[in-house]
Amino acid sequence: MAQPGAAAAVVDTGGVPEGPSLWQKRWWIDRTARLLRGGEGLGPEDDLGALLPLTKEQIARRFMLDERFGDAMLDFNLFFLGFKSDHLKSGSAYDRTVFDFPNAVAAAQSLLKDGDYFKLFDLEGPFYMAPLRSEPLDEPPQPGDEGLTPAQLRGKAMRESEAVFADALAFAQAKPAPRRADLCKTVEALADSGQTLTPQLHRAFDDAEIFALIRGEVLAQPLEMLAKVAEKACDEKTAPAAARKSLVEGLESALAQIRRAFAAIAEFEPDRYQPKSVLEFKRFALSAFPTKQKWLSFGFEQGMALGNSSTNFNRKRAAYMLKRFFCDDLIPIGFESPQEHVAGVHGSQTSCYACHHKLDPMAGFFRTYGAYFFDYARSPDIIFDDLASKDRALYEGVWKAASKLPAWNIGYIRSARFQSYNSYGASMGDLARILRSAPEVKRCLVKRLHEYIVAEDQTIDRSYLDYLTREFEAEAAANTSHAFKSTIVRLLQSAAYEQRDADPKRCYDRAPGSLPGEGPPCRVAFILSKNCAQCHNAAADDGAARLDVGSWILAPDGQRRIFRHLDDKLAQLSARDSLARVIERLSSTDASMRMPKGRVMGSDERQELFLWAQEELARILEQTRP
Amino acid sequence: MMRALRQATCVALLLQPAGALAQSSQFKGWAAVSQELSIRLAPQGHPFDLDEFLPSRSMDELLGTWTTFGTEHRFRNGMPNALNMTIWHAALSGFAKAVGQSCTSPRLVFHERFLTTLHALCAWPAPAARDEGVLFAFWTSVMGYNAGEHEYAAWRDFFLREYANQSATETVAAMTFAITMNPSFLLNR
Repeated sequence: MAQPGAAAAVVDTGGVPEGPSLWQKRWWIDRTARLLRGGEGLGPEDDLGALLPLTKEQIARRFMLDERFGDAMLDFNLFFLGFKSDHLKSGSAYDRTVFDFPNAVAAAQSLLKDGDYFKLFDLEGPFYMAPLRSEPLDEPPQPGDEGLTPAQLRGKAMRESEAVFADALAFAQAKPAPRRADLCKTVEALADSGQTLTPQLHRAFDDAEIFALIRGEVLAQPLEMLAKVAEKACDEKTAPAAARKSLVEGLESALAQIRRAFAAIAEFEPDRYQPKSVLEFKRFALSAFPTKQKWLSFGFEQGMALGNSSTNFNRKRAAYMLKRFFCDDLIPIGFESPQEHVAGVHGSQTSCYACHHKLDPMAGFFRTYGAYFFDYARSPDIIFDDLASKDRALYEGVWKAASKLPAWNIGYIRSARFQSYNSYGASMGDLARILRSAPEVKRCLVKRLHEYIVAEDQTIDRSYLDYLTREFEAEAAANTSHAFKSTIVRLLQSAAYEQRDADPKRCYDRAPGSLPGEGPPCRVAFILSKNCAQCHNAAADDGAARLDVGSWILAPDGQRRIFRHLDDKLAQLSARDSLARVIERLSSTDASMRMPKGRVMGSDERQELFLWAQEELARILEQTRP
Repeated sequence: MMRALRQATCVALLLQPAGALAQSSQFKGWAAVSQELSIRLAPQGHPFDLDEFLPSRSMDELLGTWTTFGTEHRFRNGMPNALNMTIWHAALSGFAKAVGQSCTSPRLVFHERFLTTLHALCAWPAPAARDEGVLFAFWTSVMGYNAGEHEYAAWRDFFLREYANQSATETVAAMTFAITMNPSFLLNR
């Protein structure tokens, strides 16, 4: 074995004798450093010798104290949300796209401060504006803008917009006072100038910045407010003095709103703001925006990726939520027939309803959000990403429930048949509460963490996933950040993480106390034992005993393994027939056929078992093809 | 130089993990590989701009990437294929050449500790450069501990045997290329 020369060694071995376990530990440390320090593995500055004597948990905890751990967790949060990038940073500056996911940022910050990591599930909250652009825009400058830096152009555009309001106010406050008709004409013209003022301001900003200006209604709301003031004040019935006073106050208020917003935006000029760590990410003062609302966590990129057309009814957004937060890929496996008749577009088409019974109620949480997740709750119409518009009340009516309770057919649906299993709500706040409390979401978070730390395609024993989730839930009841860090440590100590060349189909870890057996493949063994084995076991004293899901015997062909599964004449079924029956029973919409009978099986578990059975069956059919 | 690169490629291919399930693994991607090389070899806070070694700067996306816009992100182009292997070959041979040429005229700015190792290796084929400590330090500097010990031994023995009389520039380039084309270096696991 190689003995490193002390003088030339780049990574100091600390004088510890070499050996396979030591090499393995160095590999583990390097891999863990990369994972917990935002991609930065061991380098010449690291004292490997000081780390080697520590336990793996101590090493992991030490890396968690490094400020780069914030980057690693932000990266994981983006992975969880489905928007991971190659780089969080270019050089020392964060890529502007990472600011676009405020729940990911807030959760990473909380984790570093041992705070509430479940901010990841808050769909409304702070806004982390990115440092304003420092590279010139792609478009050629307009006449008069030539030679200006991006910051100079922004300053110019904001001053110009401000001047329009200031000029109108100066006119209104002039002595002698202008005639009411002239003043009304000025204010009405200003209120009506959105189509001129908006592009004038926006020319200095890029798409992501314009997205923030529009959502914050920086120009739209002052102009809308002026229009309302003018409508009232310029009515002949209003006394001239009162009208003038009202118009002046309206203009003062509009100017103040604009100035407040521009001042807050200027705080994000790159010469003033360039965070070097996740903790330095600064919240935008949302009170400076005329809307003064909490910021929806779906930002510019999600606005692009999760568009909602006038015919889509937010289903794309709903599918995203189910996939990302519930690990439900909407595999169409049938559904339990509802106890009541199902109405609606897909109500009579059972193959469609297999997904839509979950999809449509989830979509309802987004019912007031149109193009780019703009909230049209205050508007009579809603405009979609295909630029079509609809009457909002009519549109929202799609989600009105037929029964009194719940008032809306909106929620996370676990069962189309048994309403008591479902979690209903109506607002984004309700959805966030469901995300925070649903066991499926915590299980999904742990599953994604396993994928992130070990490998995306590595099979996980469901009993091990359940064990990790149980531990996580128990610790999260006291502190979500501690619980999350402990789960990371558990995964870093798992056997799967230790594999240099892992077999993706093998389960390397089991829940404590569970013994490796000769049972069905680890991918589905726990699902079968949890959902099916109570009835389908060898000791059952009824017809259910004809299938023993705990067995894994040689099939009649003498080649494959399959459950002990007997037909009516008590003859063992072939692997192909056995799997076909399993698939049929899992996906049946007939409540008397569908398994497990009279019980609700978790969506992700049904999906996993169904996919496994399908893949196995496909493999058999492929092998037996002449 | 071409002979060296061809041979080094052979070493990389011979060093594939035994009974490999590597076909199920994917490339780490250009961004991750660039970052790893920068962390190990470049001065702190001054990462390499390895894009200059790509045949075309936009080709990084073909080597495995998470980055996209306007859709959910998933890792794309990570499965090894004829096209991306050709690009990896071109990019990493350029990088390896630059490391080798740094024996005579610096092409890249290296971390001081790596520079010490490199200077020692640049005495090749002198005995001082063939020292076990120097070879081990060079291997771990570039590869880290991504590969198993047996792969280090195979790499070392190959160069001690096959490059016994080659120039330092050629040898260092071939050594670097062999390490960076190793599946343990390029693939996720």
